[in-house]
Amino acid sequence: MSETFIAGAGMVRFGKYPADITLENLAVRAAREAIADSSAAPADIEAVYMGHVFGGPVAGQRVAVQLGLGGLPVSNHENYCASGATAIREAWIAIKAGLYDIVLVIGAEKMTDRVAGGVMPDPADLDAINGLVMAANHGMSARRYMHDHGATREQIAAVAVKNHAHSVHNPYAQYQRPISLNEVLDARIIAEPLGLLDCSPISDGAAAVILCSKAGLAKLKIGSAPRIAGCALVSGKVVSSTSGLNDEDVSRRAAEQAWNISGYGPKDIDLVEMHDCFTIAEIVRLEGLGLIPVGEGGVWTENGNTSLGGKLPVNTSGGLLSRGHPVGATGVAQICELTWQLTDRAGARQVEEARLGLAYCKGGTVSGTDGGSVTVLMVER
Amino acid sequence: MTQIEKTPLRDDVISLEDGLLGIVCTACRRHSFPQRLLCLHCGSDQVENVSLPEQGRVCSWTVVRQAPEHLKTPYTLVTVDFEDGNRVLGAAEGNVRIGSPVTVELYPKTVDESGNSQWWYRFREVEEFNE
Ligand SMILES: [Zn+2]
Repeated sequence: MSETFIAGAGMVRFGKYPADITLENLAVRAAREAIADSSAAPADIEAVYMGHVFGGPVAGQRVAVQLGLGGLPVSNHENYCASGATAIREAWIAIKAGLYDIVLVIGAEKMTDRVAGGVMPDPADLDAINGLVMAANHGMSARRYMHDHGATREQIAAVAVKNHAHSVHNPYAQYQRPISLNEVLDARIIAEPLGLLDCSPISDGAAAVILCSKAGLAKLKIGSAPRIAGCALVSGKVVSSTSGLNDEDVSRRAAEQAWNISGYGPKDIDLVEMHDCFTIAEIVRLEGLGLIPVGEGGVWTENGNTSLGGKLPVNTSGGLLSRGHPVGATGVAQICELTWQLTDRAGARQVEEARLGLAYCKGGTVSGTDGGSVTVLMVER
Repeated sequence: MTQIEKTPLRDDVISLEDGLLGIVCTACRRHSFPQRLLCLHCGSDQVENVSLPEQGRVCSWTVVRQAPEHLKTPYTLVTVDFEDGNRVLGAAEGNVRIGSPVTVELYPKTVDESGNSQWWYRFREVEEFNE
């Protein structure tokens, strides 16, 4: 089974792009950055994997042909907000199986011209009839977390303050200015107790990576590159009335799979790219993974343990809250950040001596379960 | 004039007589909501139709103040835990609190093309309901 390396990473700045900047355009730009970073020639690339949700049929093929990669095996991967990470996992599987030596993975999304007011479950899902916007799930999670652990509203808001402070140093982030705790607390309410700045924005963007086998690295004359230590994927299970609302069993199961694949454990992780689609989500998911003690996520955030320079830096990129959240691109952007961190190219947001990074995505909801899809990807120097 | 009829918005979810509908699995004995062909827990097709208890308890709640245009804000959503093991999401009327008992209430939600009212479920805190 071949090991898998990240030979190149590239992305466009996330944000709101005008109508004439299309999904294809964003994806092509990100892919070109990743290809250039790897010094691959188009002819070296053997397959293309594309993660997206709202891109329509065969978006990956539309992008591949614009890159001069027509004719290659191209596949499209949808796992809602974990689509990009799922595309990476599929590429990792193919390289491990020995099918290819050099592949391109793209995550791309154009949302601002097609999603308004917040994302919802599939209309056929029972929860959609009841008006479950994603923010409502996390509002209920936050209220229960405060009830169970005595956490304060300020501690939850501190996640947004921290991630925005990080993104000041990320040229690819949608928002690059610091925000104050009061700004988060005073923002208009979306789903109680969460306000606008507790929620990740609706964004456009694309990110891409070149994944290689050992032979692929040699072909590209790359001496060393970050290695993918494992890609875990699980889906939600039915919850019962006796489980805690913030049990995060789906995160626990994803972590267990990641530890089994990689041979690493929670104590080995130096930095995390966490799916902070909402402030409270960062806290409960870190706890679910076993990276921080249950009930202490609020205190950890408030004390700076998850800040750059803290015990376990989380979302040095700014996370979804401030890098932005073009849903299909997010998982790939997380791996771009880990790649830059693990090759000492993260500039002012560099985590000193970072050796092993973990990226977590959670995509979608299914009525009656603890989630749609969850991915945990691990990358090591 | 044609009679205006009351119908459930989805007859796998509620019945006008029995409230919320579910199944109990004869293989693993666990309950699922709403009615469906297979047990959600073990996949068995040996299931029987049952109705959920009339009351549950609030696990958590929120008031939604921003939503896509077709939804009228603000509205309250609750996660409700039932003694049969089901955890059910729904809208709520009036005040709710974590741990408070709520009752299932049916109400006309929409009107179909023939003018029939389509009924759905929501929750209401028990004390307030009894007033
Ligand atoms: Zn069963």
